[in-house]
Amino acid sequence: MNRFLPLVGGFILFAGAVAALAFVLASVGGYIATASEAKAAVTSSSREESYNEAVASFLSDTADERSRLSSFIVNDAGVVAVIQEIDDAAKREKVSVTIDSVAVGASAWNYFDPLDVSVSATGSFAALSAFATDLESLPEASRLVSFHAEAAENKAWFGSYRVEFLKTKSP
Amino acid sequence: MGINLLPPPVQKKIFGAYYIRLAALFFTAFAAAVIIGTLLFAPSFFISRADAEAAAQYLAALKTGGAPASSAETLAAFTEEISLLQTFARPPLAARVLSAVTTSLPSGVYLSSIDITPSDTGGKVSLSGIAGTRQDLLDYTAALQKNPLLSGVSVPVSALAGSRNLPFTLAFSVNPQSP
Repeated sequence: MNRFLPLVGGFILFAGAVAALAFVLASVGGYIATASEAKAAVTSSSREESYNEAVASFLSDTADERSRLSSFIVNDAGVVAVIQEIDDAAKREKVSVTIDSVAVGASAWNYFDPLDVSVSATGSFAALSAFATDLESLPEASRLVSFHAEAAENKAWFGSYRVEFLKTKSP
Repeated sequence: MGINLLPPPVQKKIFGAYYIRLAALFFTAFAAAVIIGTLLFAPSFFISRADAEAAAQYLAALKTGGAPASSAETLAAFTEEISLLQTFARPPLAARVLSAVTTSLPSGVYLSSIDITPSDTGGKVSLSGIAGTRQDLLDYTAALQKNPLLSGVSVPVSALAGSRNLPFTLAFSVNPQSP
């Protein structure tokens, strides 16, 4: 039996050496794959980082312009001022007005809402026309959605207006 | 060639022992070669492991330092704001339409109601009133047709049935591209 000992010993040594080599090769392959994936992710993350830096820089550079643009948009606190502007325009054009409704409409917008203001007015045709022009020329981001005027008694006219303002969403 | 005088069983036993030692020698030699190969791979093993760990740590550091989400939110809000401001930047239309429908009004035609619905593509207008004669109504319609701001103005033929004080309704579109 002793004569097989060198053979068995040699085989065990050989098998152990092969196992060790296989372990080293598999580990090297795994580390290379891990490093490649991590480097790809680092490249992607670096691009994202550059984009974020560009966004932050853009927002910083355009802060004044954005602030100026935002001043054209009505916020919750500015709704009263908008109604006051309409009243002032009515006085200027010598028409008698009633604010029929002020309501936030539905929209698919994420950060803004339409603010619908319905107004009724009585006055001469020229005055109602001038008032319509004023409503189309308000300093806020707004648009005249509809205008209806009909003759009333004593050469007076009755007008109804619907104006839509751009309003920031309430928090 | 020599003559082996040993008895065959002894010869067989000696040959067997020889091949066993030969095989043991081969296994040992192969094992030695493989061990040398393994040792030669050792630097690659340690370098690749260090490389993978360093890349993973760098990635983790990048992820923890990301940009604030508020920047993306602000940019999205600003983008929507610009888009909406463009749609709200509509030139005054009602004043031009009112001017157009009143300046060409003949003395025999009286308006009783006006509807204007401005839109991004121009808008719709509807006029109702009374014309003293057929000719007054035709003159008014012709004057409106000549105005480049208005389009689709057609003679309300059903209103021509009467002879005097003809009630009429005109519906047409606004051409926002007109100067």
